[in-house]
Amino acid sequence: MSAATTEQSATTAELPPYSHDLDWPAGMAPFKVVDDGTQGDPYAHYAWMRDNAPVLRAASPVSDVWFISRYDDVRKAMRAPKVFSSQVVDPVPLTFLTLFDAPNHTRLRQVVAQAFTPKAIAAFEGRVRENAEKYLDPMIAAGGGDAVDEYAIPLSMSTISALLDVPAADFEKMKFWSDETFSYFGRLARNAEGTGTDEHSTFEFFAYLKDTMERLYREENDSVGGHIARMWKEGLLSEKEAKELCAFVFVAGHDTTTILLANAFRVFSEQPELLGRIRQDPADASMFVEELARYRGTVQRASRITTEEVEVAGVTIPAGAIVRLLPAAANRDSSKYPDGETFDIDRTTDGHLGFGHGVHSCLGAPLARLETKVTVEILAAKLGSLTLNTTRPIEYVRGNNLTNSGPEHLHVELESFSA
Amino acid sequence: MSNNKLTVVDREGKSRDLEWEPDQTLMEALRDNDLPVLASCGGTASCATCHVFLADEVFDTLGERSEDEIELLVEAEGYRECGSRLSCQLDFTKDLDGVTVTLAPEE
Repeated sequence: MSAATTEQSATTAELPPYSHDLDWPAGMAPFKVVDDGTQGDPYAHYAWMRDNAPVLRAASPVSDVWFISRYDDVRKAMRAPKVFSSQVVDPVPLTFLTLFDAPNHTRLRQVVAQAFTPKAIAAFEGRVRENAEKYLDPMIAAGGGDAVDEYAIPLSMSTISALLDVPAADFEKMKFWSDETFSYFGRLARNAEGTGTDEHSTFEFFAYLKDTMERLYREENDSVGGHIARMWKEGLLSEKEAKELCAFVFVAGHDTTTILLANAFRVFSEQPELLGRIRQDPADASMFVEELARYRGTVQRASRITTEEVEVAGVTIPAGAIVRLLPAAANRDSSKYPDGETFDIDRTTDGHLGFGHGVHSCLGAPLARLETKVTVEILAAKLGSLTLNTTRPIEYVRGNNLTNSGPEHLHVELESFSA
Repeated sequence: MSNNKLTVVDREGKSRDLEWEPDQTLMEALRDNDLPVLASCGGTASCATCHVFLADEVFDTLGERSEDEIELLVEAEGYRECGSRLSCQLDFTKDLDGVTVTLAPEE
């Protein structure tokens, strides 16, 4: 946009009404920047926003936040990192890849990228499958349980821990630290509330990761943690960057996959015929995974700041505005995916934003896809029936990180398959 | 089908010979042989971190670039109207056996 146009529209562009001033449908709370518990399953909000307020302005104590929900608009923004910058907080408070633009994003991502290529991740399949069976079999024997606590968390923790080669005995404290660190990130980078203990826990986590990297360096360890440790010792990364990058790999790889795995259980409970179909034809598991990432992906909000005034869906967003792109809302846009609110394993999912799009596409997508594919295959192979426990409603994550949403507890009843 | 031979000139100007396997895109051949090609978006033509240069006579034999590809390339460091390609958009063909590829500068 030319300087003249910018100047003119700065005086004439009207700001859209705030979310809390809009006429939301009866029973639907206005969409908020910080979830107060009404957005655990946000898809009804998204549908209304796509139709009525595709660029939604919401007030927060710190600044206005602009939410973008239609497919074409979210995709376009994700392809334009020079206009929709990821460097929302400057200087960047933590070495988390989601917080950087090029050239730092490029430099830091290159450090860990080779550990996450499809070729590198394929080596984990045997271990993932073995762990998946180890966690699922006792649940089947017990007739069910909490798919999050008993399956999704242990599987994602054991997988991502292997990448840093930390011992299984440390999983429980790693899980706690990881959640706390994500909350600390949310407080520093997204103006979330925090937990009160997040800073203390995060620094404990960093100290643990420093000790771990010292060990991996001594052992000449091949894991991604060992690689980061060598980069640190060779002076290519500072100690702060190395510790925080390790934490990022862990935090980003754990919470997101946990939710996606839990959502696989949920979709099977909604479409039980898919158990038999995938049991017959395990190759369909990959189609299930892609449609799951479209229909019930984990990451709900990608944060950006505009570097210039930009028009989206007829609304002028000023320069310097805090924007949240809503990939999960975009993924259900029926103008891109007909009947988008329906899970259809046979649909074409090309172009879905379930693992993001553009230069910030999910680094761990090959790993998340592998864990989810194995889960889908094993559920189909082993289960004759998967239903939700009707006495225990789904409990949703209350996002301290302001990024993800999905089940925090998902109680299921399982019956094994007998031919 | 047999592999293609591929010569890659890296950002320091050093040449290296590689095998390009039939089931790989050009980006995958580069990345899986440990060349510093970030390929951030995983091959969906949505970033420009697998940008390469090809000689004019090779470039002219390739198909048209998609609108998505052109949109990213024109913003990329060192863009050449004739010669710039996203390597993730180039599938294996025997016609490209023996080709030389130069890695474009990083942002």
